[in-house]
Amino acid sequence: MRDPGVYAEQLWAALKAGDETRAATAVLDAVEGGVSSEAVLLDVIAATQTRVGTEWAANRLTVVQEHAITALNDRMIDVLSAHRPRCAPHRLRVVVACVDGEWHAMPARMLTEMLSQHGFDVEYLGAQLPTPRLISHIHRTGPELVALSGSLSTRLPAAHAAITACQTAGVPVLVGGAAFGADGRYAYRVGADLWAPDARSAISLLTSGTPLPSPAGSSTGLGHLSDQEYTMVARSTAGLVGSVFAAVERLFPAGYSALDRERFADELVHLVEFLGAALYVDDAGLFTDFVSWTAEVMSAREISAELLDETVGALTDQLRDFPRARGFLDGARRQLVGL
Amino acid sequence: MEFAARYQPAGDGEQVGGDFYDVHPLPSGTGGGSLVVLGDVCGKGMAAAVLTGKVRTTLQALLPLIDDHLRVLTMLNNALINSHHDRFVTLVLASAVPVAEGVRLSVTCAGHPPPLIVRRDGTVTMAETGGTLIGMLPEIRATTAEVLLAPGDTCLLYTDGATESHGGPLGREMFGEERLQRTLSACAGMPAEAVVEHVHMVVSRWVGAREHDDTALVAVTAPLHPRNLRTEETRDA
Ligand code: B12
Repeated sequence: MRDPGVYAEQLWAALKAGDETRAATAVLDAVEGGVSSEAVLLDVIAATQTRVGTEWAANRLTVVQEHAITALNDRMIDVLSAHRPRCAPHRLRVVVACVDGEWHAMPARMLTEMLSQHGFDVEYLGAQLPTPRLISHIHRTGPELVALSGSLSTRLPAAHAAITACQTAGVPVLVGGAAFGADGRYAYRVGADLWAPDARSAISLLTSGTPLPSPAGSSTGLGHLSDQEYTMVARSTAGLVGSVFAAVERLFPAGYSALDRERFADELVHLVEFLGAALYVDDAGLFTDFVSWTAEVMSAREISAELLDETVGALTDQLRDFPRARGFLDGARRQLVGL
Repeated sequence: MEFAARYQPAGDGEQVGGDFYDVHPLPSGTGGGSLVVLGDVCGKGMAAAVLTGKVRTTLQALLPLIDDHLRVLTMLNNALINSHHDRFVTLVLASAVPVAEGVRLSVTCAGHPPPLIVRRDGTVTMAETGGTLIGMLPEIRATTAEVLLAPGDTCLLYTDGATESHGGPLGREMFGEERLQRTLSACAGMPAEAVVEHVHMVVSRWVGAREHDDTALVAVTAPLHPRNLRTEETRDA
């Protein structure tokens, strides 16, 4: 058997060219070359998704190419799924869904394929499913477990709502994905019953023989929400974005087009949303990680570091009366100086 | 040829809206193509849902005549007028047939915003078609545009939920036709699925947590890399 990395390279070249036939050939070559279905999924296909992230950050791919490669990889999972040994479902009945408002469907799709490779009776509901629809689906079909995928930490409040609603319907919730932090720290904050760092660990967890926990239905440690900082920030996003935009406009690079300005404003929305999520789970690291990543992204696009620093500063001015928010913002600014 | 579609219901998705789309195979003898129908029935709730159902089934029944879009629209108009609905519908019909050079499209709008065409180089144009809405007046008129999609070109059919949504980073601007064209221009050369996903995402972010109208999007794409046999076998497996 050849190293899956070789096929990942072959697949990557085809994906970048937008060539579905060549991409499918890479996947089938890997299968025929003796790479296990699980490794084709995680070490070939998922590996190229990770690469999408680094290439985009480095400004070597556009957002639309991200969508396009992800759409092709979605079909590559169909190709793999059609060419692997069938496995009759003999384990838990699981519903896989994304957090309401989540755009990253691929991680949930991969988890679904993994679960079905291992004999789980699994149903995938995709992204863009409003929580009320997820809940009525659960009432109708009565799964034993809900597996909830989240990539965007900004959707943690929505994840909390979905988890609570599933638990109220009597079903325990397993969560995973980048949204919950590399060590799953935010998963338990928003009340998840179980968390796994990746699909392989999720399988070990669910096949270990330990019975599923009964749905807990209470999150631990969200007492800080009573200071209303999260609510205030979430409610005044448009106002905050407007004020910060006006304060830093003078720093825009020469030749910044109307479209660039609009994109910048959209990035400001993300910034405020990440601050809101950090306030929700009371974790400075959540915000700092996003700011550091943004700094990297901006530097790859040759936008001066001053702009981001002043932006965070202007947001601090707006939130002077919010001690937790101010603490997170000051921390992020110190981190930026250190970069 | 590739198709991809998205439907975003209004509110939390519990209420039935008036936007819809269908893709039907064209009757045999027309070269293995498909008919895309996308429409918007005015209003919401039960009465709108009933009319939507009627429009969809009537068009399906009229498929054998679809070579002549104006004739089909006229018959649909008569059917609606005779059933005394006090609502109307705006529609786009697009017959798409794969040919050696790409995809041949015949597009007809009836009171609906014309579909946008994005070429592989990023140029965006509006299909040159227009006509009266259906279900209001005893006589209708409509013109059909003939468009050739070369490999890498996409035609996007959409409802005004996309362009008339209000929001944006500062919260009060309308998304508008021009922004849709710019968004689409960035999708040049992309597969249909990526085009609808991207447009849907940009529009949704524009609306944010605010109340949005229902929206339907359908993309027809002439792929840059046609699938070969090995992939086709895979898909059928
Ligand atoms: C492709 C991609 C996109 C595509 C998604 C297209 C699609 N249809 O899915 C698009 C272009 C839409 C996109 C957009 C954005 N993205 Co993006 N995206 C990615 C990227 C590169 C790959 C995602 C992916 O497919 N991963 C493949 C899977 C296999 O990996 P995975 O997530 O680690 O999943 C594994 C485990 O987590 C686990 N798992 C996953 N789900 C679950 C669930 C359960 C129950 C369990 C047990 C396990 C589990 O199993 C999987 C297999 O082992 C990631 C970076 C990355 N390296 O992942 C960023 C990433 C997810 N995006 C990110 C961001 C910030 C964004 C944007 C906000 C960027 C922007 N400024 O516009 C937007 C958001 C959309 C919007 N406008 O609101 C961040 C999220 C950070 C965070 N934690 O909040 C990431 C992590 C990049 C980063 N910062 O490093 N993105």
